Amino acid sequence: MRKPPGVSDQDFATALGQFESVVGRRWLFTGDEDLDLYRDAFSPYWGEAEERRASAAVAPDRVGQVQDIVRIANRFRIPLYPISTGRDLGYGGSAPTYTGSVVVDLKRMNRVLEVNERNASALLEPGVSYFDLYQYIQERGLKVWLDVPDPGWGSPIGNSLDRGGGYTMPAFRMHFDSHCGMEVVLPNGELMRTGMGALPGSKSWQEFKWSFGPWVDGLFSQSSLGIVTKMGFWLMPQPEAYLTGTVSVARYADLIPLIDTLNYLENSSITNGMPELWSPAMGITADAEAASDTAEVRALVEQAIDGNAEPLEASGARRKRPVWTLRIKFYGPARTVPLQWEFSKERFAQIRGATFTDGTLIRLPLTEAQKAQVPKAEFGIPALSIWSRISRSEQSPGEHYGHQGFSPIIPRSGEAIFAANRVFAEARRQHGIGVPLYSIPYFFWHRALMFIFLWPTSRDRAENAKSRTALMDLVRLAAKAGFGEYRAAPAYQDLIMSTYSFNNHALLHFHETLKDAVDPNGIMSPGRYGVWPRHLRPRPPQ
Amino acid sequence: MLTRRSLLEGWAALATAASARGVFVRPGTHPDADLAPVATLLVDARSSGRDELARAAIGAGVRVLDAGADVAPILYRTLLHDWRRQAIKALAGFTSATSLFYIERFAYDWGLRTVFLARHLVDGEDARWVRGPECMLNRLAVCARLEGWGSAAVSTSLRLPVTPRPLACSQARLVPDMIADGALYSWTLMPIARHTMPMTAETAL
Repeated sequence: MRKPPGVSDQDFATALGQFESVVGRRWLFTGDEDLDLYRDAFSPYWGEAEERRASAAVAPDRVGQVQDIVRIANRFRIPLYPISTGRDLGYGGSAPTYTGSVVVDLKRMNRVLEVNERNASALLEPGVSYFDLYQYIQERGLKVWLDVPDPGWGSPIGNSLDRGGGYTMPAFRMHFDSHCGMEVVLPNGELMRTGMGALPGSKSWQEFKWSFGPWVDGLFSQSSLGIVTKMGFWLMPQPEAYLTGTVSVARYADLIPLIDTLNYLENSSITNGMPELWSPAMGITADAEAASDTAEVRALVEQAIDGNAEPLEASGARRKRPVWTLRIKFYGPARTVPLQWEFSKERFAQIRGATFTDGTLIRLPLTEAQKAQVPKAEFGIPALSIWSRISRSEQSPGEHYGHQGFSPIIPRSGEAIFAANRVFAEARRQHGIGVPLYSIPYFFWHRALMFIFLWPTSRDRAENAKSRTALMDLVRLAAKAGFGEYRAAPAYQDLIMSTYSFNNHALLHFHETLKDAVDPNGIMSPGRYGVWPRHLRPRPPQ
Repeated sequence: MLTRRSLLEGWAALATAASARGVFVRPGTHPDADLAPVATLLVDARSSGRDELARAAIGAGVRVLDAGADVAPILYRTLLHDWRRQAIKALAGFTSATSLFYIERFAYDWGLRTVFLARHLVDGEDARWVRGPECMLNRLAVCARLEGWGSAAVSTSLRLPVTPRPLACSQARLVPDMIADGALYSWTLMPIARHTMPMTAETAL
């Protein structure tokens, strides 16, 4: 049996016995078959010594049990690792960051405590999945929407604590931003509520985030300072209509005014859906069927990256493919969203030669037939239809493949997109790192852009080693250029935290100071996001 | 290295691939395990073979569920519903890799494991071939003689005459059956591992 490092066999056995007395024999898992469920299916170290593995798992069904588990862990110095639905594949899934940890599986705490339609808010337990909440809302005919990630199989609490994003309005698609109030079991077993939940009798817990004094909620996201047992969220009132509009421009440099105009419209809340950007001239389109990427086009793209975009522009004009196409979206009253699009067109028309395509106004709620046709995440409907091609390949279709990602943040400007592509081109040309010819960012975040690079993971150690090396090399190159990662799998968290090195790693030192104060025994998620407890520091460099 | 866009583009390329490549039939996890009858067949509703498979399945007493591009409704409304009520039975399918991926991930938590997998391809002659190692084809021959599971799995999921010849192309020439996002897979999940999913029964919310 695997056990936590530094814990004697007797202490571990005693602790397991005490865990069992808290949750019952049925909800303590120690056998190999059980613990298989807590492996990271997408681990880039699958089957190797560095793969993070649990020593046991325990599944409480109420806050009091979580508190008891934490107190027992403190008594015996057992590292714990809480998970909600464990579907954060690509970022560690249900496996702990520190091998030997006991996973605290919160799936049994799956109650929707409240959905307040009038206030457009909800209060949830960590085991509630997006599908559970969606079903709850649909069954009651409530006129509120979720914002969901894609795929939508995780939990609102888990996804927002890991700072995931979605597809609707900015206020809701940055999932951590849309939370309001939490309840946390601290590493000493004490129960704390944040925001207005700290005021007994307050009815504003899901209305006002900050309460009084320092706002501490952020300390529990991507962190190891507690176990969140309740969390409030702001929900999106069901809009009356949805409209898209597309603007296309012919010149490479037009990206600069295109993004600037978009930023103005978004920051003014004139457009309020998640924008999408493509380059048809480069063969990067929304419609995969229409994508084309010939050797000739690839050569033109390389020239554009290096500062000579005229041949690409000429080719695009000949093929009637704009260099940039931007789709923007509107949620709101049926009378006003067309006007918002008209205003948007007026602003974009200041870019010489810009052309426009009007989308179709969709009245809401969707019919069942419409649900099958629209991109569901943009309508708050959790779905399971994205990716997974790399979950199988022709070489090994019977094996579970997965992916690992690098998603650097860059400024929200055309210039930053050009600069980032020069950096990635250098990575490709000079360092042999497998990145696309041209990378187009995503617009999940309201005030920044993000690229997503994915490498497959497999059961082949050599392939995984190559993927890991490529990812880590790109992390370092991007950091040198000022592009930092926002979220990562445990295998890369130490490296990425090390890139946030301003003033001799002052941020990490601050995290460690908090960690030592709040969790002196270092039992809570050791190593999560690169913050280790004192007794496990320093960590060897990656 | 893959990007999100290249994943989408790859589906298109896969759908238009004309040359036949090998099919991969993985030996069962527990080849000597007792095999339970297949209770449910998932069929990709976009497949041209859907009606034929559904008729055969229903005739064999197997429940048929239509899977589309998004397998979430089937998972959340039917399969998880069953599994939470401890009705964990063998499940077969004729679906895209995407659907299979999600179902496998959820099913794993409920003790179900993939014991059979075949990928359907289209070759230049517009036929669908399912090929595999001799051991699997032989095993199919054995299963075909078992009551319940074997006949249900073969007749409803595979539509293959069984042959012991190694890597032989099957004799079946069927209408090409591809869907926009790639090849179709035949698969069977069996309840093999002990059910350990830490979930309460459904509670009234």
